[in-house]
Amino acid sequence: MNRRDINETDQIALEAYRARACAEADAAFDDQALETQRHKILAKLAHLGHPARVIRFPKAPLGDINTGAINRRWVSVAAAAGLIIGVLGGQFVHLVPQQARPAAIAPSNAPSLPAQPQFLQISAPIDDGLLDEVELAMNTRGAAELHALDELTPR
Amino acid sequence: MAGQPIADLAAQRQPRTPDAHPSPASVLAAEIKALVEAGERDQARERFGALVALLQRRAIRIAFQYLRDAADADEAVQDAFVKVFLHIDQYRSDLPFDVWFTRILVNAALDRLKARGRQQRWISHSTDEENGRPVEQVPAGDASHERRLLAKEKWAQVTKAVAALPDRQRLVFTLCHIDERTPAEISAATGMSQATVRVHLFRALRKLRGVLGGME
Repeated sequence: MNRRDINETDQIALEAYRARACAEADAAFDDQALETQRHKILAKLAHLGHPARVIRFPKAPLGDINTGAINRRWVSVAAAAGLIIGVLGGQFVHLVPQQARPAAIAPSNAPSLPAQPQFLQISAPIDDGLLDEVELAMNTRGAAELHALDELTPR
Repeated sequence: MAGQPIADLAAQRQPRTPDAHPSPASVLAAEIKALVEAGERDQARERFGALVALLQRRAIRIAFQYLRDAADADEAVQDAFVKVFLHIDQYRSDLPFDVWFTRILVNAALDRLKARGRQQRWISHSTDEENGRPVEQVPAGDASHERRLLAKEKWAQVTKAVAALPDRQRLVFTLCHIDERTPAEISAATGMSQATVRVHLFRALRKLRGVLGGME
């Protein structure tokens, strides 16, 4: 568009529009508002170039760590190490030569016999005191009633 | 709309030729650029305050008329000035600073417009009636008051019609008739060709002619 096309009436209307628009903007932003805006801009610029502050995750200082915790940690490590050594040792048992093993734990290749009951060889000690008491009991009066029973007993 | 066509006001305006007489803003911007390049950022920031004071009123008028919202205009102007300082090293001192600044301001306003479109599509440009304010009663026989109300109503129609313009037409119209920029300067500030600027001006004025008639 060539603004030569704008006639005088339009020009007057446009000038009136401009004056009204500027007055409206000036009313919305008075000197105090512009001053505030200027401060905001300069405050933003003042923060440029300063990297954002990173807040570290809070942690306890080294001096606060008690020795009990360290001891418990060592106990745990020792238990774990013992378990590992035990498992590995169990695996290496099979590599040990047969002669070196105790016979009690050697597996027997011989045919197994049926198990025989084992009787204890109990030696009967001669107890004179006991025999005396039996003889004494036989001779006492109360034992006469037992003679019939004794005779019925198979020998 | 009768009357003989008159000469193009934009063409009549004095072209801003930086080579002959650089504007105070251009001089100040060149000084700030030199300070930044010399590593004197604190001093450059202090001088930048003077540049802000020099251009602030003009910037807020453009932004406010384009965005029709005080908060958005405030944010857009702040963003524009911060961007200017951040990229002052890219400013070519042989070119008018005003045009460069206008371009940055326009971009900031467009960004704000996009953000508003995304977030608040449901908010329309408000008028007194839309805000639910009570309609002023005209006292009987008070001609001056009635005239004021009519003028207010007329202004509401004009601003509504300007707000209804497509974005590029509204931008060109605002830069030409609020900021009094020539088509060449608008072309430099917006990246459009001068022919495109003139077409947008023509179309905007054709749409507004009906409501602009009778503006006092």
